[in-house]
Amino acid sequence: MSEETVVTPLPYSDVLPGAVLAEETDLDGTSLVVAADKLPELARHLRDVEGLDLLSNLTAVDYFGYKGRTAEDRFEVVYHLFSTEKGGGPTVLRVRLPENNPVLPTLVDVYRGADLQEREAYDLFGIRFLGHPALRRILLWEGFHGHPMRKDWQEPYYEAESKPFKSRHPDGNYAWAEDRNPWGSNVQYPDGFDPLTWQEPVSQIPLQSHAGNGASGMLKTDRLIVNMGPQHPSTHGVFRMIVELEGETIMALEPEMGYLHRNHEKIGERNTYLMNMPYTDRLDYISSMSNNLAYAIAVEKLLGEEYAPTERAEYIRVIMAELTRIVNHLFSVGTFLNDLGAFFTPLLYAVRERELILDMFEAVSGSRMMCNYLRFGGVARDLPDGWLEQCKDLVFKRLPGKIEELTTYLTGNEILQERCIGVGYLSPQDAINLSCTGPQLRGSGVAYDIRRAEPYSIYDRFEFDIAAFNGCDVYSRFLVRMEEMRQSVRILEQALKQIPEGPIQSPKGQGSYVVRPPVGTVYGRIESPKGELGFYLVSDGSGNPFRYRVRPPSYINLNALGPMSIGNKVADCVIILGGIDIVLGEVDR
Amino acid sequence: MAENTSTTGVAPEELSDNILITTVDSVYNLARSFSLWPMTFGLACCAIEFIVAGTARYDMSRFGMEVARPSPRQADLLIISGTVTKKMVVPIVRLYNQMAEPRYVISMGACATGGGPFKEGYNVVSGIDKFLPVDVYVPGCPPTPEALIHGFITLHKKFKTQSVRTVPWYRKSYTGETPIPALGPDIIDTNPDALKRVRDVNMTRLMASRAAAAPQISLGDADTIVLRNPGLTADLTGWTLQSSASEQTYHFPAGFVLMSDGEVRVHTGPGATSSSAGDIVWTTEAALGGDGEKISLVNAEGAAVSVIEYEATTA
Repeated sequence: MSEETVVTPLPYSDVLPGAVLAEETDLDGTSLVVAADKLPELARHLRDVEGLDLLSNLTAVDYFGYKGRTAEDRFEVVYHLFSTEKGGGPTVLRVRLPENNPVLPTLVDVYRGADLQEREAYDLFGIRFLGHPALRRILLWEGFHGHPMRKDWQEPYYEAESKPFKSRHPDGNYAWAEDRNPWGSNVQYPDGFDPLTWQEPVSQIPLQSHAGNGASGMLKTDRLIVNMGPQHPSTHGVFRMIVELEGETIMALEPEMGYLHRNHEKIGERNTYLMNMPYTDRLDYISSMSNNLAYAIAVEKLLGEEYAPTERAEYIRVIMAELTRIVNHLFSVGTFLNDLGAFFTPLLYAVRERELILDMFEAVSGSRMMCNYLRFGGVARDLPDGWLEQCKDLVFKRLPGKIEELTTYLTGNEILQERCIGVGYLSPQDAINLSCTGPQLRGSGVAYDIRRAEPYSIYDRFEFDIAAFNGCDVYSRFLVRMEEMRQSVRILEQALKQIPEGPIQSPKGQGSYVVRPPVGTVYGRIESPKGELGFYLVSDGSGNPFRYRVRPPSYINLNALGPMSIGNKVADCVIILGGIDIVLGEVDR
Repeated sequence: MAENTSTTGVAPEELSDNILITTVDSVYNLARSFSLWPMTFGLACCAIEFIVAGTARYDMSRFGMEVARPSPRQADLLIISGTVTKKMVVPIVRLYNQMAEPRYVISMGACATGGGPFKEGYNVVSGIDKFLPVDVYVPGCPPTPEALIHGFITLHKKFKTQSVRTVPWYRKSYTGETPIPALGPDIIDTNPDALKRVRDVNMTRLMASRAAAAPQISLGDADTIVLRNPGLTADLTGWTLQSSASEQTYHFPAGFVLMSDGEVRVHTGPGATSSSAGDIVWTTEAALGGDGEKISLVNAEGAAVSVIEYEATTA
């Protein structure tokens, strides 16, 4: 009896006894350790009763060799749930799995947005999700040997567990990776593999076809499968879609990706924390400053109060992030019009303004695109003389007029409206359930913006409106982007007026090239131009992140591509994809 | 014939001020260098700078380069603008094969040239020149549009060094086919030389790992031990099986050979019989599996090669 009075009951033990095994406190708040078999039930309860409707981040961690972990709980699948209604921080679920049989039930039935992320966890970690409709490799190809994100899997150019590598010290003798590898290039084969007798397996991509309504009139038509990509001018890079058509109507659409999978996360776990900063630039390479900001926020959360950025640095960060948003939306709108068939002219108009902003970036960071400007606790350099005046000139005098100019030419344009209104319908419920964020979600009328829902940096000081339109179609997403540019200008105007003088780096962050955060996990996220950009970090107390996970918005927004396209014409899937606004560097990482 | 020779070298009077004498090569190279059509083909970050090079500020149409074609059949120039991954190099080589000669390749940026910051990645090809011939390398991460335009001009200069008479693509024997790599356990370069090299390395490694491996024992079903040889064929003359508890030793007979990948079962206990040829009966006195009992396989030099240990069952 006395024991029962001491123990506080675990959360949800009244509705689902035995579902939550433990409650843990971390740097980031509390998280719940969940029994694998009760996970779908608990998730359904959290979604329907507790209002946690957005499964934002789903990832796996391999705790191989981590202090205090054994083969029994080597793998961990982590879920970050949010409420679009109430906002606020995440509810974190953790499911621990043994080394020999990492299997757990899928959440696709509860959150359809889990689809792509579960496939990724399967591909990179070998964790199997029972009941997943098509659990196959996503970033790599069928037949690839091993699951590369496992800690005991070593890449062909493996040198050491973590950087800086000994061999690269100035006095050491540097050995080329090619020379160390027996095959002389970036490959490795299992023992005994004979390429001369090996035959390429035939891999099939399953299509989940719609039955169709059979209403194609008097004509009897066959179904046709069309492959678009990875080299296709409309796919904004190396993205591939397999489309099944009945006449011109899309009956099934299966995205294929991984053609730009450049192992960001594996490299990130070898790097020190600061070394990852330039790599984040190359995630969403249109908006590098935003990526820097998300990563800096996550690491600062891990490092604690001493690394909190200074006042001036916060303003500089907001200015850069909002300029980035304008850059991204200009480019997005420009290429979107390209997809519509207005070849290059709208893009020329959009890129003209973008170039002016890139010049501002180049002045502060030295590079047009890959800025690598933010540091933990501040920014790398102060603004050069005259930069603020030039920026004010741009923001107060030029940009508002130019955004209106684009609006005049485009928003009311009849062809654009004809092509976009009603195309790519995505209901608000579906948008949330498919884990969509950013303009994709707000274009379905859900006013969910992390700058308001869970304010980071100093966004709570600025006045701006959340741009949301409830047309639920491609046109609404376009309108969201146009409106967000206006709101960004509003934020910029306030920030440029208020920016104080002062140091640009917290004293602790000054010149700290190797930081050693305390043991723990954090999830830091921002509203990047494409949606929720999050970084999930696991620290083991060393100078390198133990797990470095990027929650890429454009990858997860692709969950909705298939559902949105079915029933539309084949020409429309191009603009539906353009409306999602993907960047392959972020999709494939 | 005689009439013809008399008029060569003398132009009609009305044309005498309008004739320029030059070489075929100059005309050929001038014409094609200013109508070079790049393929609309973007891989990663560098592709954005490639697009921007075509916009008003940089305006690559000044060099006759702006007619970007989405189809490889109509394009002369393949710009590898970004990181080449193993998954993507297969379509890239296929696209290159579809282009008509003369065709050129610009490797744009650090990744395409040598893997760049992502070189150590497991899915990254360290340089497109491992698969395709590259004409111009443009450094940078990403190269600015100016740098890319400088690459174009460098390519134009390369044209001037080529002659119709010596270029390979007008020769009869020339096919220009590049073998398309395949995706196996890792990327496979299907060039015959590369294939043979991979095979040789793999076989050497396999033999080395076999040579390093020694026979192993493991628990079989009731009262048996399985002796397996993952390595090369081994002669077990002088080897023994020793038990820590009952202090019994089994001596392998002279000339006992275990084949590579071979397996024999060692039976113990009162009912032990050799059920098939090659199986061994160690002892019929006592069954194995006492508390904490250790069975070791000891080689001719007296070193324990493989040990199995029974769990101690506490009453």
